[in-house]
Amino acid sequence: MWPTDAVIRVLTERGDLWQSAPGVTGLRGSAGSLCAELERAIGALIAGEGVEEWHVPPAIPLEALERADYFTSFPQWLTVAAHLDADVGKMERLATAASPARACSRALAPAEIALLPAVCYHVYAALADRVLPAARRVAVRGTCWRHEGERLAPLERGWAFTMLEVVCLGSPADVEEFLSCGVQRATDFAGSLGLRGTIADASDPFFAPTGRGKALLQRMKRLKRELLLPLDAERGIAAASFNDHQTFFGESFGIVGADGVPISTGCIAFGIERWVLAWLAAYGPEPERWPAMNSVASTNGGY
Amino acid sequence: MRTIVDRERFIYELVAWLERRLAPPGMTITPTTVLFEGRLIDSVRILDLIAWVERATGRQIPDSRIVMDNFRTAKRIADVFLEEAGNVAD
Repeated sequence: MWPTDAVIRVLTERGDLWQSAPGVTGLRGSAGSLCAELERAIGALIAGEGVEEWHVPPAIPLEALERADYFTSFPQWLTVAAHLDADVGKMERLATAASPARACSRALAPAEIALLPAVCYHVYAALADRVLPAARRVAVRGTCWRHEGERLAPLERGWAFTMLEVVCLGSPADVEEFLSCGVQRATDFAGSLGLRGTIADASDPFFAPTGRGKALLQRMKRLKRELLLPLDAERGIAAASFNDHQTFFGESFGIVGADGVPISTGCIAFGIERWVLAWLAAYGPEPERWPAMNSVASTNGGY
Repeated sequence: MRTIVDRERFIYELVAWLERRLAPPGMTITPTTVLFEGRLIDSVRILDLIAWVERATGRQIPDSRIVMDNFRTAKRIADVFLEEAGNVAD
């Protein structure tokens, strides 16, 4: 295994990795190609017969997150998008400021949308207050934003990162089958890359004061599992998560089945940069040492 | 609240508390009622339940012991946590 701090240092010195802000990371050169190839392979893994592919907007209304109870669950991560205030005087003061970049935050209009904290929220919002006569599976991808303060680390924990998700909406049995199949397929996919993945029960870092209760309940009911890929002999990284929401989003967004009962949902999410890091930890930063990527996913895709 | 050492007393008081705190009108909770079916337990009530058991046994419950199987029913809670606390009176 290669120490991840050494990998990051080599890529940075080579100019293949850079940050425009803490946790906002770019890749180019061989690392950029690796990232693109992994995204293609995982995209093929989650696509397939019966899976709708959606191109979702890059931001979401705050009201949709409110409906998803986001502000009591994970407000600590939220990143909003704001444009400049349309007031001409404010813009003139900004344009003539000694440093417009530093003065910018004083010239913003109130934010009405958030950068995506997870791509699947768009699926529930788009299907809100609808009847789903049959189960559906939807694949979505996008850049997600979660500000984790001091914990940010390149590739491992980004303020911005690339998420590929597939969502199942249907009966509890539909979701259970979807998640158990997904756990196996993701583990097999990691194995095809030569990465030894392990599945572990997990919980989300819910915000206080009810955070501990939510996390305990999530763990007790085994509603969240993660695929951990090794970074060294003792440390793994959650490169995919398997989440059973039960009827939470069905109820929150008024999505019901043909019987009028709120549907169950589950999602499987892949964090692409973490797959890049796990690959680099296994094989090092020099591309000539990398094995050929076995693209089993491209021939056996579909959840 | 004093530590409870008698198993039957523990179950009796736990069931009474669960009925007061959790049960919707018309529902009866027994020592073998499955607590995690439906919506009896939510993220606030699970913390209240853990706190009740900790007070009743006089011992803190580590997160590793907070698993579904140990909290399945009032009877199961008594079996697991009274036993671990060493409080069981024969």
